[in-house]
Amino acid sequence: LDMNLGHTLTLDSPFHAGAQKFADLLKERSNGEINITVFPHSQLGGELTLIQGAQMGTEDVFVTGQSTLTNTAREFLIFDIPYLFDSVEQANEILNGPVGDKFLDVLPDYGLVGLGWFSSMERNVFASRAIESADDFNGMKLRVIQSPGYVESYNALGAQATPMAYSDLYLALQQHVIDGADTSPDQFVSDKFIEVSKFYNVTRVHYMPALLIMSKSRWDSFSPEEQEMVQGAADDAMAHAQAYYREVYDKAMQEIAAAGVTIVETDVTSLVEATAPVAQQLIDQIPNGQEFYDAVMAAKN
Amino acid sequence: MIAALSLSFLGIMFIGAPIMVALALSAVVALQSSGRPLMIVLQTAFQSLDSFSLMAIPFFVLAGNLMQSGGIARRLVGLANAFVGWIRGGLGAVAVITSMMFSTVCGSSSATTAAIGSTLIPAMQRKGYPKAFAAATAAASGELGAIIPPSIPMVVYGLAANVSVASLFIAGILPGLLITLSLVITVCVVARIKGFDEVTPINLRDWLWGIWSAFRESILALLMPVIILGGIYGGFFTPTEASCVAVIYGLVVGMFIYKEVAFKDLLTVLGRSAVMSAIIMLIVAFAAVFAYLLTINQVPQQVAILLGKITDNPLIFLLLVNILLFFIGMFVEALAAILILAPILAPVAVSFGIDPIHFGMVIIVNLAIGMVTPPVGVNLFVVCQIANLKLEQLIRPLLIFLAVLVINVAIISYVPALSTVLLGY
Amino acid sequence: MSDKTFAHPRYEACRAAMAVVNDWATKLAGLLLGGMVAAIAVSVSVRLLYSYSGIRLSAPWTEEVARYLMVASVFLGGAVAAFQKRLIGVDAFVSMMPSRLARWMRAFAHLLTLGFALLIVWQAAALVEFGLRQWSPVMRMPMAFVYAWILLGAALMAANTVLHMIGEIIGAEGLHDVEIDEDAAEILSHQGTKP
Ligand code: NA
Ligand code: NA
Repeated sequence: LDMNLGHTLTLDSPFHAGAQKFADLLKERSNGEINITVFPHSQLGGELTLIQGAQMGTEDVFVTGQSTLTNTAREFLIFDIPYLFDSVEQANEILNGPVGDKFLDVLPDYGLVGLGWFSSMERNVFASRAIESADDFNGMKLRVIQSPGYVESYNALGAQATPMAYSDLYLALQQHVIDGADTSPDQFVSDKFIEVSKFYNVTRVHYMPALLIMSKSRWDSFSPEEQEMVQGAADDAMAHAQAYYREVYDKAMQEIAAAGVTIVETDVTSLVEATAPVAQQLIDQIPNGQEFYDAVMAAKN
Repeated sequence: MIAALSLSFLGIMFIGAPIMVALALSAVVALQSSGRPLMIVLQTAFQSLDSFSLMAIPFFVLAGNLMQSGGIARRLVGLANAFVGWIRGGLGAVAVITSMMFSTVCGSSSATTAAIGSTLIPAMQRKGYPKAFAAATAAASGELGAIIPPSIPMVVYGLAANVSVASLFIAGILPGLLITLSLVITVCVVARIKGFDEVTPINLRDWLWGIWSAFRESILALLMPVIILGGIYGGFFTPTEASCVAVIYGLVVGMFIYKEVAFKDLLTVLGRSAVMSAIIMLIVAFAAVFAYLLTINQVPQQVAILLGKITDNPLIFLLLVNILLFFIGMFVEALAAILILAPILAPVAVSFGIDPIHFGMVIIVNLAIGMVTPPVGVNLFVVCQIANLKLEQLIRPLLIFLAVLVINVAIISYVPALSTVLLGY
Repeated sequence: MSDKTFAHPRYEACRAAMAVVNDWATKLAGLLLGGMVAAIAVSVSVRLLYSYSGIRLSAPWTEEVARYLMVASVFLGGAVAAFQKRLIGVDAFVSMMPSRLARWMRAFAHLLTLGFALLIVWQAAALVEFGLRQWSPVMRMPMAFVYAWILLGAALMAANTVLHMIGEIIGAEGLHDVEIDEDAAEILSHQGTKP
């Protein structure tokens, strides 16, 4: 059996590490029966296309960041809430537990089966200026993910959330068309924004989870034994991906410092305060939003 | 599956169905034969269209139409004529140089050919140029539209090969000037040998005065590239947004300053531009489906392995690529060819140590020649319409230009500095 | 065209009706293109205002609006291009054939185009149904509204292609064959009015 697995990042990304591990484990454990080819770099399409394809049965397995998933499964909008988690470790621990399963359980309604969680990615603001506190956002033009929680959070901080194609971002930063954008340290390095930014501000507004998802029609075609084997391979692959993220995170932070980009440890107190109203706005947009939010908050304690 | 894909593509294309139909239906045949769901066709096409960067295509097409309607093209001809109109072969040189200037505001080869050819082919005929030679000059110099920035093929290449569009724009400047210069020389030499286009004696004072008055006439047209490139490099907007700024500028100049576009014509120009861009964009969309099938079958990897087996010499690799591109360019529309080939060839080129921007220029310049090679060459179709010629009447005068263009491709391929030297600044 | 006599009055009537429909479709596609220009112009203006006058506006919807308008405009414009027989193809091989055979080949090419258009109609319909449960990222608009434009454009393309196919089979089509490149057409139309 041959399957394709698509994701949107580079070969050295945590997405690829987890996906390739999943493919290798499954091949080994199925004695070569299940062959997965991993296609990086959006070769099979962007996340939106991958989600849609899996729902319609044209894609088998894919990796997606949570923000794209909100267009299909609104429950995932919870993770757009600014300062929902305090750290990568906390986010991963909660998502690996029953609260994470609660979210995965909604996916079959949308024709998808959630196999597991990659590491949540700490998204920080890289920019032409240092951000010590919320006031420093004033007057900044930022390119952020086009998802309501991101746009509203940065607008609440006093910045302007500017829409822009990711492919235009490098030149826009270089020419100062915009002042900054948000991303995880590893992607900041791999997408070469390190060349065109002065400051990497550790603002931690969002910890974006990512998921390994299989098309429900493909999942249903497996026998219970095969499903168990697939799930087992996914669990081990996701553990590998979570550890890998920690590695590339640390390595990227070293590279950022070595490249002469100033790393700013932002005091997030004023940011938390300024973005607090965004949470309720988002919860109101989600069916059973309060229930899902409360579950996450309960797990934090 | 790949055999099913390519054979059905060729078959459908030779029956005369539109290229987008050949792309989509051959994908259906290939999907069917491998048991994959057909929904991939529209999903992939939609996804490729749902792209912000692609918006530069309709915007540059619209800007070009506004400029043609708005009198900007005519003024650029006036300026070039004031410079070199008086030498032997001067009017042919004017056609080339005006094409180059028009290319700095227009991203499309066929639009450049149409804009310049419609004014200058009749003018050249009146001055004693053979009609077919005049048409061939306009068609050949029209390809500058794709090489001098801004350029729609470069935008498409940037997307397909994942390289910076802005760098490609800069890389196009020197090759564009080289091709301009070589075409000017070609026209002047042919005019001397064949003895048409007599010399008009002119004194220095009249010459300078003519340039000055044409310059004043065309200052707003000349300002446009300054605004577009200045806007991009001055940090006001991105290259994609610049195409929209070009539209607004063309609109303001055409409607309120030159007053050659009336408000009631606006919807007509918009509608015509929408249809023109749709023709291009649909090929882009369904070429993405074709490319998707090549990708999931790992054809790029296989081509890479094959090329690696044939040679490990980057110079021979470039030669093979150029031959491949020339033949594909004869039959396949440039944008479709870029979308299918760039993702396959660019990674291989990089593995041969070739700069991806330089390689992009090799592909774009070579496929731009495809616009003037029969049987499928958009520029040729345009000038045939303008000059009321049959394709076969064009071939003989065209051969001279094709030879010159092929030499240009060879120079651009083997002198990477031409493409990359400006990138350092 | 006025000096030509038409032997197929009913076909000509259908064709005239479709010409009107396509004229409206052209205008609509043009308006959608105008909308794209407006959306991006707003986006650039809002950012420049923010930078240079401190006016705190934000228009994250602009990019999304422009992209979806483009998709709509492309499929509608493609339908019109089919009516005007301007979709780029290779007819070098067909034109080498004897005229009777060439006519049947062209009819067959139209049949293939019809198959293409119907494929898109069918798939767009599936996407519309699907798009009722899928939302656009910024405006949270059901994606069905976007996919519906594809359905509309493909349906018009199918109708236009049926018209050409019938015309080719009954031999009425040649009278209308004006093979002209879009750019040249544009220029020539201006040459007429502005010497
Ligand atoms: Na150009
Ligand atoms: Na050609």
